[in-house]
Amino acid sequence: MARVVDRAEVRRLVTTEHAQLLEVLPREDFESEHIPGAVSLPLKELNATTAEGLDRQRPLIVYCDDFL
Amino acid sequence: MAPRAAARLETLGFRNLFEYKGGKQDWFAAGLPAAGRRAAEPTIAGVLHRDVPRFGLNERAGPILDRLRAGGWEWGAVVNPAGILLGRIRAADIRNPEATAEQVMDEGPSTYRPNVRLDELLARMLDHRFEMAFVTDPEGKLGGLVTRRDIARALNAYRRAS
Repeated sequence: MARVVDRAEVRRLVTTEHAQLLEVLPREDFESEHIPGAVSLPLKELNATTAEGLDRQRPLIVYCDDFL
Repeated sequence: MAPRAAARLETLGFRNLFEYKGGKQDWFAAGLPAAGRRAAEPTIAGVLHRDVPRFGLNERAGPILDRLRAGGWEWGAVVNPAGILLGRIRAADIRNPEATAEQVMDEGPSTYRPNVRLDELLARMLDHRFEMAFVTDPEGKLGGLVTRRDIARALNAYRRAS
């Protein structure tokens, strides 16, 4: 199960553990504005094939617009 | 959406998974960098007066007024030891120099996050007829103060340049 983290922990994971940031909102939202360094993989497109582009060796941080 | 995505990734064999509960709104609201098409649009972070005077609850109104006048400030902020905004004080409203900040402050002023676009806050200021606003991060920590005049100037400069 994914561990819920706050902003400070996100920054630490990215900085010290080279975590990947994954935005799962629709691509239009990502193109409008996203966290620097994040990649886009909308939830509707998330499957075994599209997930192959993610690095399984690094921590993966998933985010959307907010906590809702 | 993020919890469902994390759950789906788990079914795909991902183990080192984290969910950023605050999401990008939390990130941007903290004044952290943004990328993307809208990232270059000016925000109120660019016109923030970070040096707005800050006072503790128990400080006396007399010295508060002196500091506000000395700096040419109409408003000051009342914060707790952690820097969380508790209230605001207007120099013109101070009558009794022996009163405490707690007694003369307006409690719980409306606040905005640093990632709010200049045009959005200006429109709100014009609609609701207010001249200044305090800016805090998502945890309520005071970042500073913005004024309608500064926002209008910055927005005009941005529009002329683009």
